[in-house]
Amino acid sequence: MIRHLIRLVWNRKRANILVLVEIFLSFMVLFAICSSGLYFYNNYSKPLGFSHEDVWVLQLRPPQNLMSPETREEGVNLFQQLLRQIRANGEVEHGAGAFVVPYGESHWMTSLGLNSRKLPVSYSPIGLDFEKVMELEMVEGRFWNETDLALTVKPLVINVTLARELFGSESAVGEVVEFNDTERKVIGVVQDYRHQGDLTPLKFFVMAPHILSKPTSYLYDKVVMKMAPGVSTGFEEKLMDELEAMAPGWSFTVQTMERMRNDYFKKQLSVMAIFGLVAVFMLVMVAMGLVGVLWQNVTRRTSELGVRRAKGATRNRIYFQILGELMVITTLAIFMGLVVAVQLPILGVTGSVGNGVLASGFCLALVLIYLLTTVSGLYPSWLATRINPAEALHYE
Amino acid sequence: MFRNYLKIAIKVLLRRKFFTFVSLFGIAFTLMVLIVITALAQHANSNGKPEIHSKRSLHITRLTLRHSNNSNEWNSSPGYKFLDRHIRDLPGLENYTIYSQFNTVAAYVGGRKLELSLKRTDGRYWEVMAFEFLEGRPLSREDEALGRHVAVINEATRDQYFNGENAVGKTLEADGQTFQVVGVVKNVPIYRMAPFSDIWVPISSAKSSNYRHQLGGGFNAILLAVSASAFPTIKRAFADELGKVEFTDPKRYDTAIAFADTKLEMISRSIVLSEEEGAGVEKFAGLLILFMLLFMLLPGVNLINLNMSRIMERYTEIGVRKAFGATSHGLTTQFLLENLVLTVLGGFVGLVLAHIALRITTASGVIPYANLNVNLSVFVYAMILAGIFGVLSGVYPAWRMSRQHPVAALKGGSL
Repeated sequence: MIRHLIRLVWNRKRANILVLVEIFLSFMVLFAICSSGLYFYNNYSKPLGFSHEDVWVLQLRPPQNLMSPETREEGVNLFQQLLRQIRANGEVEHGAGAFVVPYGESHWMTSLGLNSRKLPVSYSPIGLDFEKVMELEMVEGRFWNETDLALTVKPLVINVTLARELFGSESAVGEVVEFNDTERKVIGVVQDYRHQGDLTPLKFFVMAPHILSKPTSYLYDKVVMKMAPGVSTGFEEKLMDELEAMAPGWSFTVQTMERMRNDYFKKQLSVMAIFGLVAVFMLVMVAMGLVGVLWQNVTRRTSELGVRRAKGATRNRIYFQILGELMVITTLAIFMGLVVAVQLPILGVTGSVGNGVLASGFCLALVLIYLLTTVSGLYPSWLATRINPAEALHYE
Repeated sequence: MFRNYLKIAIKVLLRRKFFTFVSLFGIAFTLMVLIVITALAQHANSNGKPEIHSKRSLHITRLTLRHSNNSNEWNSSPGYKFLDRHIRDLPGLENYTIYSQFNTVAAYVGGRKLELSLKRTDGRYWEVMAFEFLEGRPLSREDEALGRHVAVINEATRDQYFNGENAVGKTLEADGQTFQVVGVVKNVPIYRMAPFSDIWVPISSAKSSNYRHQLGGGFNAILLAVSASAFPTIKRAFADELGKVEFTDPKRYDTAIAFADTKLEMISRSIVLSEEEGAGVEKFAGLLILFMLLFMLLPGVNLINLNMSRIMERYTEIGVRKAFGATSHGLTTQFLLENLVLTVLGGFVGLVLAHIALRITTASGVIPYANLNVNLSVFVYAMILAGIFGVLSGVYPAWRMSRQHPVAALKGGSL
């Protein structure tokens, strides 16, 4: 039966090749949409790992962007005064300096070495108490305190994903790794948290203490604050006045992390919505186009189908012949898609989209393309069963 | 002759309404997406107010500092010191301006917090740009020289901060500083990067004068040439200036790379990351065309399919016409024309859809102060796009059809 269908498709190859190309292209569009949809859903469904409630992010801009050695010390002192002032307020439970915060749209990369292995990692230099502000959960070990910072081998905290990659199921605490060309000791493993936002993938992630007293290090550009529940925006104005009085040359802006999260989602989702909408419209267009083409094909083949009916083929068999031919073409298109899809991991263009996500995206697209072609084939196939054999033969 | 073809085309389109609808839907939707993209690009690039001189303008927006031997690299917008020293004496300039990128600052009014964009500019900025003033005056060179705390605000800020009442002479607090409002201008959309802001204040009103010593960070410049033909001279002179940059720490950086670009070159440079004089405009254009063709591929194949079906249906008609001496050439022209009628029709529908989409975008406030619409040049681009689409999707079916043998066609043979 299937061999027969394939022969039928082959006999009309010139008419079918265009349909094949069209289905192939639609399949690729579906594949792209399904894979990226699954990719984001996959990221979103993993635990967030931190709390954004009652967290405020204060951006500070010192008067000079390029740090000159003469004014650096003054800047560091002033920053520390500001941080003390922030923490002194009863409304602020914890405060910490930072550069990379969730939803902040920036991330830093470096490499981490163990023995002869080097891994690219995402990292964030942070100040004391950062983990308390973000309510991060420890898997083992702990974050550093003042005494750890005084040691010659400085501490590090890594996330679970990285700890598993480097040390497997063994404990990571106490291990010495090479980080930024210096030796560092891992003193804690933190539960994975999405340090860039809900929709971004989990990466190898390292948190290192930021040592302000080093002459080459930058000043923090952010302070994250955990507020007592129910602090109003009125406090924000008061805090701004306080800080501006202390550091006249600086600029300050405050945002709640809740608001940053909303902005982040709005931005990401509207981009996805635009792409999704365009894709859906394209597929609707393709479906209607297929209906048109198949309909035309059926009308052209009136006499052929009429002969089959006259020779005793049932309506059902005619129905499934038309649908079956379409399925043969769709399957061919999917094979073409498979050939293209397996190139992607080989070429290494998939980035952080895992092969698992690609495979499930492919399967989902496969189901959807069969659905799409079946739905567009239903009416033309039904039309084919309506052919009256006597009338059809009359034309011959 | 053409009138005859046109008549046939319309008759054929009306005969198979389903086919016509599907084709039109596909064409209209494809062209709508392309028109929206074109409109965005055209609006960001046009030389309407306030950028009335954009055809004579060169922009300096990026500065790369490098070290020739190690891998140190700093990438940012240029700093005030760099621009101030190295653009002042360039030949062929009618005017130039230095202005900061916008920063988001907080302003509090009646217990409410406003987040506003603030840009610091020199006095010349207001000579290079032609803002539309609702009241008051622009910032002047004198304001900049004396470091006056004065501000020009836009309409939206006036509405929010002063409840829409006259603002000139009143004071405004933003970023912890107090400014006296001297002028109010119409809103400028954010996709016009050089003029966009909510509040404009003199550079010299900054909280500290540190910016004067910075090579990198925070500022942009526009060079207004006497005419566009002076561009090569200016670019060459600016390249020479880069060799004269004094580095504070030559051990870290000893090379400066920057370009004076037209708007198109600026966009192209930021996308193809070119470090050549021509900014890789050709490569950028190539990428753009490739993207558009890829996007048109699926709707195009869909349309080719539909056209093939429609032509198959008219087999006998073609056979008869061929038997009576119609040439392949004539028939091809006829079918191409039919397809063009369809796509141009689709182009019009697409234009209407694009208009609606742009209206929705403008009304939603996603793009601050957007004022997007379909104007004459967008319309022209749309029709060109529709034409390209029409020809591309019509050529293959028309060619296949015209090669048909009349005997086979008369019999209703297979294609």
